[in-house]
Amino acid sequence: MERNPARKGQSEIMEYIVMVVLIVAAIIAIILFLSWWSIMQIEMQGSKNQNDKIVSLGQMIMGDYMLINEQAMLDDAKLTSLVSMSSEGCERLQALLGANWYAKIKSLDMEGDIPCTWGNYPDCNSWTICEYKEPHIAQVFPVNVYRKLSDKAALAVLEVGVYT
Amino acid sequence: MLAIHRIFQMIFGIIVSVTILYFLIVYSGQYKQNQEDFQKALILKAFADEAKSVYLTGISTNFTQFYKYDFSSCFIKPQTKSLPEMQCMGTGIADVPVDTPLIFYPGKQVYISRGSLDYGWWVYNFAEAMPSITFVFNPEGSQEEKDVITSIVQLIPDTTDDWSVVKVGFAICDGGSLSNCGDQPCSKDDILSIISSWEAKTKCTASLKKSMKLVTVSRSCGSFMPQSGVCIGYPNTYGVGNAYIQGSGKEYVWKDPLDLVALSLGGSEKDEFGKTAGEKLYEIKNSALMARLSLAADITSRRIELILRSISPDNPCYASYVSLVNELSGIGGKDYTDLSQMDGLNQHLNAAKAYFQSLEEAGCERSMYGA
Repeated sequence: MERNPARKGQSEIMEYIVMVVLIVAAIIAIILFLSWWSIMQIEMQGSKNQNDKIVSLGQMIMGDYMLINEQAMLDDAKLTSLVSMSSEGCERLQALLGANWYAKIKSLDMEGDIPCTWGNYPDCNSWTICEYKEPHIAQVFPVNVYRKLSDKAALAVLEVGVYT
Repeated sequence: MLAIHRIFQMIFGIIVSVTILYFLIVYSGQYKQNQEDFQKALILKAFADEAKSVYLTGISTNFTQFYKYDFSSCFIKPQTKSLPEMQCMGTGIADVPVDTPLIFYPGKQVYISRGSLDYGWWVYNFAEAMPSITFVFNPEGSQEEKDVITSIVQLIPDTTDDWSVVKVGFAICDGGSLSNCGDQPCSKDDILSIISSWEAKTKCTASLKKSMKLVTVSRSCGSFMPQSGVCIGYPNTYGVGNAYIQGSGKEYVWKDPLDLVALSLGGSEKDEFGKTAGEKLYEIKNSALMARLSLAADITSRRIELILRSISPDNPCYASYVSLVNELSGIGGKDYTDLSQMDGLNQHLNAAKAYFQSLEEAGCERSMYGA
């Protein structure tokens, strides 16, 4: 039995349209894949940057003569001066080192955690530079704190965190 | 005769093919441009990281990735309330924040090193990145000039190490001729020993390559301008003077050798908006230094107040601490744009340095270098 030529033409056009749709779908899939790949690359870079930022902030704090007495020795009087400037000190420091981070230093020469203020210095052992809040990722570094009034160095920990 | 569906197929096929082809060409062009901009941003980020590493460790390094694309229009722009940003004019590259005090002059390969300005009570560290450059001096022969040039040379990196791919050198211009040390530009050590005994030369008229920066130190800067580069006036008793950039028409007040390095390194080369590279480096240098200097002075003043609470006025350290805190309170909070303000600033800085030194000598303070 001979097929109807009109029906044959219709089915060939349908085949053709299906093929075009598949090709377009394949192209769109490739484009979506490349876009996803670029976004993933940027996200991975961003995640790596956050860790790098923590390490470099730690190094900056430990190496800046604004806060240290000599190389890698934080000065307790300088830290107290900075934290007693309240938010202004943090804002000015963040304008130099970048925003969205905090640093907490705790000297281990005293029991407990006594935040240093203008009033209780030197009978205190911790300093928080910029507001501590969640969520964040943080790393801890061993440092030294120079106790100016007693002229002694104490072991301390520096926690640096960036907000996620 | 062709069937109707064949004609439809052909027309539809042509329309679809052209549409797809057009879309692919546009997309691939866009994708290539995006990837190129992404790569450029990565290179700038890598450079900023490398500069930070040098700033933190003090270990100099070469940065050689700039050869891949054209970064000649890139410069660091200060921001009012956030980090300075590396910007590249006329490109689609995203601005890259730079959290290191950095003096940067672009080139295919740059040498990054660390320098410092010692204020006694505070040390300002900075990184400087520059390509192969020859600083050309046109000596006048006076002692003031020798002192100024010596202070500039001391802040320029020594690139005589075997591993340095960048060579920063020095030459002397005498009329139409340039004299080097043998076939090569003089090294830092060579020029420092030459400066002490050099004599006046005639005005420089030699044709200089793009990589040569003419630095003229003269009492008559302002009324006289060299053919290119910068003209640095003599300092007054507070160590402050004026400097001029050829083609700029502005006066730049300098108060420390790093101002002069910034002006000399940038020189009179202009961007498409007519701003000189020297002016851009001068701006970023002063923006970075003044923000840090002001905060450091405030922290140190408060620190001294804390110390003064705990010692009696009879203590031998007391008077020097009081004098130091008085001097520090005069630092910061101003724009420091004119000569008289800079005079006042340098007066306070010089006095504060002297008081801190006396505190160190009396054993009241430790040296910043751990001595």
